[in-house]
Amino acid sequence: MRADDKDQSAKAPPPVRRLAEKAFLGPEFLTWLYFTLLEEELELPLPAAFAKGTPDEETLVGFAIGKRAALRALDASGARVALSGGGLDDCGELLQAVRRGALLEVLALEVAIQSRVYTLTLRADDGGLVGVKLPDLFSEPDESPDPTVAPPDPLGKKARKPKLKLPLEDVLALRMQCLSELEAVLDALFAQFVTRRLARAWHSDDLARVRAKVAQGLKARLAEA
Amino acid sequence: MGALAGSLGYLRFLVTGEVAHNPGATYERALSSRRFLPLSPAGEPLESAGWVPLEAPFDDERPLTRDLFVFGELIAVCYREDRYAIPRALLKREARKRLDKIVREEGKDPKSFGRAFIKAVEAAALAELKAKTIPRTRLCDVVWDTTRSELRVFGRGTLATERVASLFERSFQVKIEVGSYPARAFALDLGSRAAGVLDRLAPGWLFPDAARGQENAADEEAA
Repeated sequence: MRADDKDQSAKAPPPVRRLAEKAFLGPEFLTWLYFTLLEEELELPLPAAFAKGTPDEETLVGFAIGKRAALRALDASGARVALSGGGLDDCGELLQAVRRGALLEVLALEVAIQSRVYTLTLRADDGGLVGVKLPDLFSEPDESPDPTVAPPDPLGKKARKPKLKLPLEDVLALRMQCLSELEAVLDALFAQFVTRRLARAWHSDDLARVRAKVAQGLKARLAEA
Repeated sequence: MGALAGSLGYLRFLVTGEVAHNPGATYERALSSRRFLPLSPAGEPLESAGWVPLEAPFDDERPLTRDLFVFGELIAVCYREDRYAIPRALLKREARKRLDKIVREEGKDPKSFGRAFIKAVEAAALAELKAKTIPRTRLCDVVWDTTRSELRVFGRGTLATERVASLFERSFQVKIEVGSYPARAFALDLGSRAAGVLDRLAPGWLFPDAARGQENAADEEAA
């Protein structure tokens, strides 16, 4: 090697390198989350996401796999598979991509926290959230139907609920409160993932379960064919 | 995408640093000095960026007072960036037209045009084009939850991670970093043993044979 062939570019500072080296945690988390949700039949108790003293039944969070997912291979090819539409909770293409070494980098979810339902898409690369739809916060509550008025035509145009007019400060506070609630659930899930990922049982237990689920799903499809 | 209406898309940032003792007065000064200044066609800059009130991002005359950005424990402000996007080729063409007109009407020799003269003609053409164009505006809401030391930036890409982040750090005198999953993992209270394991953690392959390109090796062997 010639002397001037040496890489003389400045190294990134250690904290930056430390984070860059652990970038795989995002895709691993989303993949773990996908299989864990399926394994737990889309319902998880997450007491860590709620205030102390919250009754157990209220700490149960419901999930549904959304209509969008994208996977990327960990190897140098970086091959990407983007899936959209319903039925991603039982999707052969997704299982096949995982079997070939890809991990989820985008995952759409629906999350039901107590009576509030959120729709969101998680991104593994920067931890960002996109397409977050909050529960309806600003519509007037339904009043009991008036028996003298004819019921609305179910095939007709849906009547829009009147919106509450709130000052900006209240709108902001309400929307941010909702995001905090949603983030608390996501943070509790991520903390659970990190704890498991660092445990000795990760390979023998968690990974084994994912492999079994993938194998079982692919086998079922072979049998169908 | 914004914080106040519609569906949301945002990046989370972790904030390191203290909130000012008197946030209203301190941040009012800091934000006012970095308030967005609108572009003028006659002015030289092609882009301008700064803070504007969340509820009135296009109200350029309105001072950025504390009642517009302090909402209890939340500090909410909007980053605005305006830019004239005039294609270089169009500018060249307009300048050429002006030079041709000067040659035609004043009978000047094109070879006599100095570099400074051509630059001046280009500047005049640019000012005319700018007067005909509306600058492209980008807005990005920023909400700092001071109780949780977290920042939500309702934007994506380098706008959020570089330009907004850098202006936020300078305005509020705190450090911020993207709350990516690795950053969140290191911020967890894990205990020293687990933190050591996290430091040494490497990517785990779900299917190591796929990494070696031998996915079907066992089947092939059997065949």
